[in-house]
Amino acid sequence: MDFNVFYMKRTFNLIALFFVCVCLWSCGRTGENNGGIEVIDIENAAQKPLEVYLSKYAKEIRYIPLETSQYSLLGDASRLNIKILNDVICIWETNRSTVSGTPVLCFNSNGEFLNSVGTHGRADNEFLAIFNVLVNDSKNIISIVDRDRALAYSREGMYKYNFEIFHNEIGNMSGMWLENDMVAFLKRKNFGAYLNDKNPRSDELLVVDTMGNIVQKFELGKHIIMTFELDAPFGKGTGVSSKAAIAYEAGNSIKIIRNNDIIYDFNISDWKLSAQYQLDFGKYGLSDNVIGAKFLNNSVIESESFLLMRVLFSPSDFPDYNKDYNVSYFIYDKKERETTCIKFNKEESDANFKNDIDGGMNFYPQYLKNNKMYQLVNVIDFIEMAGKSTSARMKEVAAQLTEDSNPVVVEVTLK
Amino acid sequence: MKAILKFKPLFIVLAFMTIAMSSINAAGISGTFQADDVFQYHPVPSFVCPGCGQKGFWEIAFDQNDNPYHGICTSCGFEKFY
Repeated sequence: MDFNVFYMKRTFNLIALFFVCVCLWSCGRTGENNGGIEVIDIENAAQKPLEVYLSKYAKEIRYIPLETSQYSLLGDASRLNIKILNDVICIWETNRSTVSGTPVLCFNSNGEFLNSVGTHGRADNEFLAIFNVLVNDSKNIISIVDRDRALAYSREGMYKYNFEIFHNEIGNMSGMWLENDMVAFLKRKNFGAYLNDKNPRSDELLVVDTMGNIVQKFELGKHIIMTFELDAPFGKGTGVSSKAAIAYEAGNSIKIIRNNDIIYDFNISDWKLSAQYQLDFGKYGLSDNVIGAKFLNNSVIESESFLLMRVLFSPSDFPDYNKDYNVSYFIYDKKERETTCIKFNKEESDANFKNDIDGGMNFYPQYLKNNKMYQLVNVIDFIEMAGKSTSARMKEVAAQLTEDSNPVVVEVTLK
Repeated sequence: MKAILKFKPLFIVLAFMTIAMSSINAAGISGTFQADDVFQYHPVPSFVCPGCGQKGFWEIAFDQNDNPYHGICTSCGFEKFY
């Protein structure tokens, strides 16, 4: 071999090796912090569930019995939803059957009944079904989202106007009032009682004004769908597992989870979606055979210090997974950058924050606003838990209640 | 050519129908049957969702003969076509 050719080949090999090293180094860096995005490690946290104490994040707990009267009767707490408009507690029942419908009930911060909002019916100022209630603090407006429009009422229950919101959801739709008095919401496309390859299901984030005009539109991509045949004990049929985009409120902004793996912040000042967190499901993620672990709808709650989320490890995808943890509760601590799976409590058949503030019932929020978290509890469960607890305040509230009383709101103030 | 001229009105009608049909298709009028425009969903709280194993979130739609047609879990999104 010619001497020069030998040296040229060696130099070329060294240069190639250098480029390979540079590539590997940058890939490694990307894996560590994913280009500056924080990683929420679901896979590792799922291996070792731990107890999480309420006092780590909260400083105060309050039990608010909701006044029971013929005008303010509420059903089972598991079918109730809660939102806060300024200091007013708004409660409504999940019921999308158009045959009957109960209005939104408003209570003051001590649980005294104020008024109802909305009437069930077919008129312009009436709703047929409630897919969500969006509250606008600056305008003091409660808006009931029906099948394809939102009806705006004053807090006192006076009808103001309605505008089109074609969300195409079957369950609770996701949306919120923005600071500029527009509404951002998630629209399902080609969603419903059919599957069609020509028109695949996908999601859009839409921003509309109060005339129903679309101001902004973001394509969020197609749903990931897997179908399989169902049999006993669920009856014959075709089962459909899917992953779709999720939207949730966090303070004054709306967050989007796309493809179940990235959480984006939607910035209304420049209309941009910016990636904030990456979700690492590891071996529980999407594969050729299973749809993998995924978030439950309306289950993500975010405060300044943490993210709470409920994740489904489906028994059909993971038959050997601990059944107590098929629906697992995770908390991501923003300061410590640690993800924890909340330990399941066999006695309560649930995973909650352990209440070490007043020795009362354990707690898991269904709503968070203005640094306060809220949970609705059936009165029978509340009275039973008060009997077992050491909380003087809980016992005092329980003593005023009967089995026919309305549910109790548990309000937890964060640090 | 003579034949075409002889049946000119027929060709005009055929051309008009072709254009009209393509417009209807483009507008989606003869497109996919949008079942969710027709169906109403009703809660079946006792049904255990095959996807997540939870009770209380199952909602079901019936077809025109009142047979179960489509069910969905409003918590995990699992669906069943009956």
